[in-house]
Amino acid sequence: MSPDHREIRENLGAWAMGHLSPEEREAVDRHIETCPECRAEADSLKQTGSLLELIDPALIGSLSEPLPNPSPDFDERVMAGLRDPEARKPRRSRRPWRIALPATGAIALVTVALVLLLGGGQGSREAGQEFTFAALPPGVSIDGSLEPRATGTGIEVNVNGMRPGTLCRVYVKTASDKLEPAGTFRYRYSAEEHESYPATLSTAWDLSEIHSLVIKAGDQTFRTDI
Amino acid sequence: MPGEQVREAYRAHSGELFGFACRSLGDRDRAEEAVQECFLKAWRARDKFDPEIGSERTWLYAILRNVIADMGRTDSRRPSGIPLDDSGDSLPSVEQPFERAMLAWQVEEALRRIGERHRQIVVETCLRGRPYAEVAAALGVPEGTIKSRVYYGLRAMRDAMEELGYES
Repeated sequence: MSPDHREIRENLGAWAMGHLSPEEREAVDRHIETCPECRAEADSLKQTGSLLELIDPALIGSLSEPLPNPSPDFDERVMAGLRDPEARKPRRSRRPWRIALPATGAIALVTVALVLLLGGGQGSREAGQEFTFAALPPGVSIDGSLEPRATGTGIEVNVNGMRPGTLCRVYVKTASDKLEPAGTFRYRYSAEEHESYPATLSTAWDLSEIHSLVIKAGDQTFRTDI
Repeated sequence: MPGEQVREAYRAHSGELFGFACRSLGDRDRAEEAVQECFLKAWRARDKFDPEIGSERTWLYAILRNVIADMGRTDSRRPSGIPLDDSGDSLPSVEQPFERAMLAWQVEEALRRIGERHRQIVVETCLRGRPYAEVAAALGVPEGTIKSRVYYGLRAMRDAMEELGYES
């Protein structure tokens, strides 16, 4: 890529958003008339940029804030319903108890409350786990971490050394030995920043249920045990 | 759609559906209620799912839309952000306003995924419309750096949209 071509290319975002001066815009227009690669990139970025109009201005300030997670027993309640909808567990009520619990129920409730108070709740949740893939092609590295969440497990993957744009499909393998999809990402590398970008994914499986992590990158498959 | 596929769909899409419900209803408990009801409806109607009409993900979003609409009717607190229809159908018919609401949510989610450095530049220049020179001065970087970060930010956003199933 020639320096001129690269400079033009890095102006394509501003071009797509209509942020260039008339002179700069003209220079980009001239270049993309004869460069199909930059033309395609410019058109694609213009379309992406136009999607920003859909953002509600009132939400702009909250885009950096994480959305809340569902409550810890949410997956269990939904999955119970998917086995037998009639037998689904009722959601927790905010109303005070109206029915006296039978003695055994009360004892069980107290026991559960004690377990939670003495360390069975959030405090005892398992810690996150780091992973590193071995047996990779020369120059390629994949590592990251798994973090327990209320809704399953958060997965952060750091890839280095692949061809930028490579589509990576991530799966977790559980005791059933079946591959469960955990999301996809494209390997992103910024030539400007000399930096790869981590991918953040998640799975509804608990960390304790994940036996290995599999990444299919292009036509290659990599696996590491957890 | 076999029952196991509904469970797999839950594992694959419940996170973003919950986020969409939270954004629409503004309340975590009500969002949980909506997503739970959405999957129960999907479970009951699983034999009617036709992949030739739309993707599993779109189908689930459409069911969730109707659940949220129903909650809006029975609750005077009409959900914000999603245009409601008056059809009363329990199963989805995908229509323009809903697709727009879903797309808006995807764009928001994509912006959350692209990383703080790029998001900050995209937000300040593309959404808030601040001049590049002003943003560059505030961050202590050359104006050219802001231009290239807009470029890489939009590219990252495009990739994130693709990860979320958006097809241009």
